[in-house]
Amino acid sequence: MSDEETGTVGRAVTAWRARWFPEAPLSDLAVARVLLATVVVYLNAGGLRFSLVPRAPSIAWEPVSFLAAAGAEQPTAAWLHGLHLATSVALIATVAGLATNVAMAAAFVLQLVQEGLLNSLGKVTHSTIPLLHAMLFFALAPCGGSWSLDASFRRWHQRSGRSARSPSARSASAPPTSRFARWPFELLLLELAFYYFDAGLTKLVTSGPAWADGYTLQYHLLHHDTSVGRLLAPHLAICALLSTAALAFELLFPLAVVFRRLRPYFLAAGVCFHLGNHLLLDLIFWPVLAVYPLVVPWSVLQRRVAALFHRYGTLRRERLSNEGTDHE
Amino acid sequence: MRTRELAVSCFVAAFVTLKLIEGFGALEAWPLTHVPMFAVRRPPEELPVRRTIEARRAGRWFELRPWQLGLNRAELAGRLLRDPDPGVGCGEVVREFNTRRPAWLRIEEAYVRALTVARPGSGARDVEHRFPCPLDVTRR
Repeated sequence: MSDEETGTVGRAVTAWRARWFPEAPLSDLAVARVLLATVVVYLNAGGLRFSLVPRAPSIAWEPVSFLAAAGAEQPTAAWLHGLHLATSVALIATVAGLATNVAMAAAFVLQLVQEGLLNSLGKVTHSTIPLLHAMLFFALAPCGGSWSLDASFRRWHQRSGRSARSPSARSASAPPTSRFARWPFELLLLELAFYYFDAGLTKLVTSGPAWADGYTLQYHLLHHDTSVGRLLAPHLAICALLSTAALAFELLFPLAVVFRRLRPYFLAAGVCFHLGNHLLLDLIFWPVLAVYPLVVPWSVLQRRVAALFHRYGTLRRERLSNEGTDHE
Repeated sequence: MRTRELAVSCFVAAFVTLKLIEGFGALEAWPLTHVPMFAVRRPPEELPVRRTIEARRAGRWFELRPWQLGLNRAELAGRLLRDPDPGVGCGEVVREFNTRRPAWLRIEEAYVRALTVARPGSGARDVEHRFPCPLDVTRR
């Protein structure tokens, strides 16, 4: 398909390219890459998070489908330790930007296996799924194009002029923007939208609108028995209100994909939603919250903050010069 | 459209298709999910039951926490203790716990405490049931 193509198909292709492949700064990808790898290192807590898997009773072992297909058995502590060590090396290489895409891809596969093992004890959790998807998206994007050892090596290679005609030398002269620097952010937001929308849709399909009548939330508050939940459980009207708000948030989140201006509001609502779940139901879904900073366009934010400082500086200078004039 | 753009576009389209199948086809095979947490409605007549394992060691009773068994709360109470007689599953878990501990750390006796919590305003009271965990049986 060529750019010159006209008609409906041509317009659709142009709109698609404008949405997914605009020229965007590589520094946004670099910030997201460092944040993502750091979050996963923190999440793994030095391997402590997976240490329950070999200690779990054998009757609890029920491998998730892809591990069952691979014939995986309950791992030993030594095996898990090796897996964790390899993941840590891949994540550190990702942060440093050393063989960035290979390192991120390796970290993704290793983390997927470990999360799979953790979910093979009879009950699955969905809290780390968006984070895993983020790792996959960034592994496929040029996230080592800026603020990385890879980029430094390329520059050094170009300066040394040893192989000015080699592909790596040509890529070293590439501008700090790329048409492939935006799509991972858009796809990650789409992933979040599906994540919340599916949760809302499943509630509606399984239980209908009666899900939000307050009795379901009251049931879970009584079951999880947190201090804030105990205070709230007797108030059915508040339970119904919170349930309705949660359902509306989940079902309407896809609007954030369509309307960019709504994104900060939906992300703020998401923070309240997860903090509320933590306080009321003792549900720790912080790995989902950790994905939020990854969809922030840091370069835009940086420009806005710089403009704000510039405006403040100008106003201050004007006020000082006015004060000087008054004294004269 | 260039080759690399086409490749990324195919990936995006495949991902979106997969997400649509997950959501509308109610696909559930980790890491594929339609996120069904808390989706089932709990009517007012359905009461929550909190299940815990109480254990005795060196003559002292204490709550055996899920993490001590290598599990989280959902894996223990939501699955292993979910049977009509949760004592059977509890017996298996505690027996395995004992095989991995030195004699002085082993559990001598255990039971499942199932507390059915009354809904506020219903006038009913919480009801407690106890299910002994057989520690001398080798198979479930």
